[in-house]
Amino acid sequence: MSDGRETTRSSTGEYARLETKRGSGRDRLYQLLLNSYTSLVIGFVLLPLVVISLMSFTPSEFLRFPPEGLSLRWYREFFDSRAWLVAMQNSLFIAIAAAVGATSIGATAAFALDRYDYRFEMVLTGLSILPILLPPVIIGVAFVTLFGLLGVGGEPWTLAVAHSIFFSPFPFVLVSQGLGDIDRSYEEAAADLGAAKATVIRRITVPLLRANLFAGALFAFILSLNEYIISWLISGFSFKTIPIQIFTSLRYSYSPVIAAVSLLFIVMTVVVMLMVDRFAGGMWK
Amino acid sequence: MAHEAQTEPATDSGRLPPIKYLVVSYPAIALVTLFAVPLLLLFVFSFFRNISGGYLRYVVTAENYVRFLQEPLYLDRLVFSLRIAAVTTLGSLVLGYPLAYRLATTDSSLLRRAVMVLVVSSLWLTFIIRGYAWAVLLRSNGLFPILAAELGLTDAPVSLVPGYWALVVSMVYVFLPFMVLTLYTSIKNVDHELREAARNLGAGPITTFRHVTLPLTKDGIISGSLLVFVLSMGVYVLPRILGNPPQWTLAVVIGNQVTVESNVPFGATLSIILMLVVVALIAVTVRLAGVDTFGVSATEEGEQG
Repeated sequence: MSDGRETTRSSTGEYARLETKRGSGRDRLYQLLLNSYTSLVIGFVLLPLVVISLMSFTPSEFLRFPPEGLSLRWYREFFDSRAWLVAMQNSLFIAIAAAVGATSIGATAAFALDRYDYRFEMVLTGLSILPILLPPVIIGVAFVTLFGLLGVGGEPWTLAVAHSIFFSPFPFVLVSQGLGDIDRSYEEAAADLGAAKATVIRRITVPLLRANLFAGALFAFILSLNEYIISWLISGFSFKTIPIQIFTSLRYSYSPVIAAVSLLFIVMTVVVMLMVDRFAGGMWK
Repeated sequence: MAHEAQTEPATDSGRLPPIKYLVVSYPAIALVTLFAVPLLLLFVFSFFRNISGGYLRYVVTAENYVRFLQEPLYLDRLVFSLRIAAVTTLGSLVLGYPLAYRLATTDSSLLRRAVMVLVVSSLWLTFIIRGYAWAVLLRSNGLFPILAAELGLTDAPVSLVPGYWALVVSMVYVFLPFMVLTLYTSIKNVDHELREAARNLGAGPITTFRHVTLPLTKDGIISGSLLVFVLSMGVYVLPRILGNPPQWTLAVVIGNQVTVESNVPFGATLSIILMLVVVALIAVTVRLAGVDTFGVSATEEGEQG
């Protein structure tokens, strides 16, 4: 709706576009149809998130329309519950470790493949991308066999290791893109001025890649936080993350505590995504 | 080291091997020991025999594969997984293409960024929370059944969970963002001057779409559909939350074999089969899409490779 007004303000090329848009009534009809249809789709995306948010603030066991008022009862229940807090602690520990692990693996692989030639480059590229293409349940079972043989399963750090591998393709792709975009003359200038190779990497390359590294780490963090099936297979009933705890509670009831936790998660996810957008320099401009 | 760095521009292939192998060793060792080896183990385990109680007998036997072929349940679940993945792909294409098109062509950067943040944020939100939200919306005292009863479509609110359509809705919901993001990039890459040229030459909006935008975004449609299809094939959580056993996918059966049945070898066998199907799907699609070159000419072929 505000589109028309904005267009008149922008460049002449877009002004011309506006002219053709006004060209026929049929065009405007199609635009109207497209806008209404896509608004419904946006509503479809929003609706469940809105319902969860409302549900988390409801004072009663069930969500009623109209809501009977606002209450923080379910948030209090969350913060009073040891089980939920331990699950949150596990989730955060695993996600932070996975972010560090995945970024270090993915970024180093990207750097090596960008700067040097190897005989088995295709193999390393394949191994760097493949984890995310396989169904997670398969990765989970594969780790169950490995950890079973080593006799180490059932501890949060084993899951952090699995997540580091599973989510490393994201930093790998982001850092590869970053390395492709870097203007190599900065590095050459530093080297010409006598900087050692390690210094060039530390002082020039890494700062130039900061946005990509950061975005990659945040992706891995948020994905790990939200991952269920690998976590559940590896945990072997001996520890819980937030998704596991939610799934377990769902078996008994659709308690609004789950909605409260969900909203906390939604807020965290949106904040992290806004940070990614910010650091990656506005991906969707 | 310092003196090596000084000669660096000329000697990329000369005396640097030690550093070069040092750099690659960390990711290579991590990915081989923690990814390639587990996959290999999966393959090896799929030939072992399970003894009740979760113990293994390390004999090489094909009986797990024979079991997959003989008991109709497992083939049935594979077919169901393929079917639901196809329905999900179609659904997210029908909902996703127009949305991606609008986002890629709108002049309002506020709309674009707001919807993108919404889409991307919901993308990362665990399936469990989103599945839970749909369970809340579709159960008998949820919004949709109540609405249907109010409108006279049903006599009383009828719960739609667990059920086939609940699963379809939630899967389209969960995979729509992948479709939108892929198509968005693809549509964005179409030079809008091409659309304008078509319009200036007298083509109507439908003709312009059919002969300009659609052919130029064909690659995006293929890769978005492939992505959604492949991801749908692995879905585990949603059939558990929103489906009955008839709506369980092969992934659910795999999870159950490992945890409930403590039968890792058979779980491994089913994993290998699922993996082969997924890899074959990717290979065939890439092959077909790569071979098929008519329609799009030299203009926008950058993505093929």
